[in-house]
Amino acid sequence: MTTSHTMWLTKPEGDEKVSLGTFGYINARIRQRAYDVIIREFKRSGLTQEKLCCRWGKTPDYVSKILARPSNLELNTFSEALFAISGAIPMFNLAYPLEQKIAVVQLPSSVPPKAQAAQKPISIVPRPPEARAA
Amino acid sequence: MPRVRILQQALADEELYRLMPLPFPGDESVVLEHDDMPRKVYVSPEVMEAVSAPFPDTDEGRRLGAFRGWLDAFLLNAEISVCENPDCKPPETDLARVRPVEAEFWSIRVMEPQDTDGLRSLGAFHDKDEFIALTWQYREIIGDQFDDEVDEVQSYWCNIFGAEIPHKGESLDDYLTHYVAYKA
Repeated sequence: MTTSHTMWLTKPEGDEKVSLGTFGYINARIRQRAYDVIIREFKRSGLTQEKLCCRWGKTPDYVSKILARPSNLELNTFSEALFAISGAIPMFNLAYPLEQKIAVVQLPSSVPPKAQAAQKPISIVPRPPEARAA
Repeated sequence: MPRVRILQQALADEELYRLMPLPFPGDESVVLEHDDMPRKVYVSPEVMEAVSAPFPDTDEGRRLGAFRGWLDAFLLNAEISVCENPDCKPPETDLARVRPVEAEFWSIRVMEPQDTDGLRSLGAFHDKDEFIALTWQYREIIGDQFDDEVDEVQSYWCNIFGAEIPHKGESLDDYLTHYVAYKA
């Protein structure tokens, strides 16, 4: 059985205000992603917080706060943290979720979950690059 | 009846719902009915109503959007900051135990948006990386009556699970993968 999965976001059009609730969700998810990038890089590095403080030239309180939980990081803080940890440079790209086709395929329940996952049932068809630039 | 059977029955009776993440670009996980999600979240009808999209264009909507964002990030294996000491919950903690510790209830601490007091959602682990969120409330409404929230979640749990206690572990590794422990 195939079912389509409707994107809950709606594309901003004209001068219609984007819902504060939508921003609330997006902000929470992106903050968490930024935090995950930093904390996983930090864990991978094997650095101590003490050493990171020295490298970064920040106080222990400051570094502890950055590593403690997702927050509304300034871009400079984000990039400095990553570079100080491992010399990493964040790369950016954009997604256009409302201009992709997302399908969730529900396979028969007789198919073991592992096998279902291996079949990558989500297909995303991105818009051509030239159309995106318009 | 074992806890897992009670959970299945509660899902069948719609006393609880299994939460799946909202489609959002960049999420790696495959969303399926019978899936391999890295974590699982079950919610009460009250929580489900609060975190169901779309979120309104109000301050309340912004806060509920942040709440859903927290839950979806949890589902997708985000790094969660955790505090096991209920008497020392720093503002940086995303998930904290509540008293009495032996009862095994936890508080989800949604601290965003920054210009608000955030909200709290209480619940318990069903298993490692599987959380059941039963109640929620804005932090400013809870005020200093946090113990009442704990009483409420315990009653809620008992109504569904009876005498079955929540998941209990020896260390945080028994509750979560991908966490940052706050040492008080």
